Amino acid sequence: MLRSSLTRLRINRDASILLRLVQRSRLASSKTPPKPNAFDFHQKRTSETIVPPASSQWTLSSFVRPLPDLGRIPSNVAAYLFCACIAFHIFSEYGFVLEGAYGISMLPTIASDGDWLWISKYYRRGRDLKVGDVVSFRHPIRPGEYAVKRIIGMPGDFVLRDTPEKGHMMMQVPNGHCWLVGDNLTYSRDSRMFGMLPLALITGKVLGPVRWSGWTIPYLEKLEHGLQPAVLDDGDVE
Amino acid sequence: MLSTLRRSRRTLWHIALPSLWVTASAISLNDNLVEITSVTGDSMSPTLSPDQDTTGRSDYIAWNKWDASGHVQRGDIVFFGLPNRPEDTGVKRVIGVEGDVVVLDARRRPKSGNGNANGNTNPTAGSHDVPESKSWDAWSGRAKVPEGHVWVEGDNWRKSKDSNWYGPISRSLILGKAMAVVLPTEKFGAKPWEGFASGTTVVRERVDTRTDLEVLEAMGTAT
Repeated sequence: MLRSSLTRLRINRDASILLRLVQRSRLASSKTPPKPNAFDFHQKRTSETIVPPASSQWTLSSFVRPLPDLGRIPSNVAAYLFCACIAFHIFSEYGFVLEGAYGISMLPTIASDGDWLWISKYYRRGRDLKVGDVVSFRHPIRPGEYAVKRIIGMPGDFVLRDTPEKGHMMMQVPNGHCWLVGDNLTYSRDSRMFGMLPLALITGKVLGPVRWSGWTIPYLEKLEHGLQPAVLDDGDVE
Repeated sequence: MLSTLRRSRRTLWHIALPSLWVTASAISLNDNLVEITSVTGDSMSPTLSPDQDTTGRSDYIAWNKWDASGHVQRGDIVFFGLPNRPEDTGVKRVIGVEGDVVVLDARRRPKSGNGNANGNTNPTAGSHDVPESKSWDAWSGRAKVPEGHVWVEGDNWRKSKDSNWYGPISRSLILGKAMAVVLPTEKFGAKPWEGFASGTTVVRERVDTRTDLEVLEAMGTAT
């Protein structure tokens, strides 16, 4: 008799604790923080009725008694996942992104068996680009594919149409276009193949490959533009 | 003082932060799925923005941005980055896809008179050749659309700067395909571009099984 009444007391106590947990978690999401509530073990609830929460918001958790917080965890996880996806998209579309690239056309700048390239999206559509920048662009002939090459000519520049030994015809880069050539001239399919590239296809500038020092620490190997100042050779002038 | 601080922090959590997330979600939606833009200029009159010269109102179109450079068909209205001005976009109709031979329309030959797509209608301006006239003439009346490109033209042949001016555009430039008109509200959901018979004839030829790239590569290794 005593034990059953003690058990009933414990059940009531547990119920009241759980109920307060539910109310507190619901109040925490509303405007004011809840006042710290001392558990009143001696308060005897006559029945195990569910007290409606203060914000009068009936949720699934108000009916799930053993673990009231379980009803809220999946929706929170989904919300955080959604926010993470949105944040990742904004950052990778307008900020920086890490892209994998493989191929022999940019040796020795980019490794043939695959390198992770740190790309800045500020330079998309040709903004602030200069001769010598390595850029990633949407392929003009194969829609859906991306490629990485170096800019040799910007609008107005005169560029050699073929490989230096194979021709001497030059072309002027028109407005809104650029001329791209890979660093590995022999094995690169670039503007010598597909012609002038519209700057609108450029998605970003490659700041450099991410390499590893000592297998643990990543570092960015900044790419140089490769241009050298002209040197006046006036050895013949006396 | 404390209540002001608490109130401003509450404002941050309950108004500013959700607005930021809503904006970011709208931007993500715009980039990947659907974007709504206005169509300015006369190059697509009277299909799109027919009242622009008289009332200044332009039509707003909802663009489908999912896999925009995917399967593009003749007759689609597309939204693309301009090849001559990378920061701007254009709206034109796809006339020919890769492999087609477009029989050029003599009315659309680039001259100083036509191609003024933004309302510069000076009837007394003399019509003379522009630099693009020479490259149009170089096609000799038949333009073969290369691999991965499309030929676009504006519906208004009098005032359209399209592929007749800048040549076929790469399919990768296409950012979206038209879904429906959004504004004005009288035309909501309409697709006024359907059923348009373009005056330009297109000879649909079978594409050579070897792609242009493969042909060029074969030529490259041979030298």
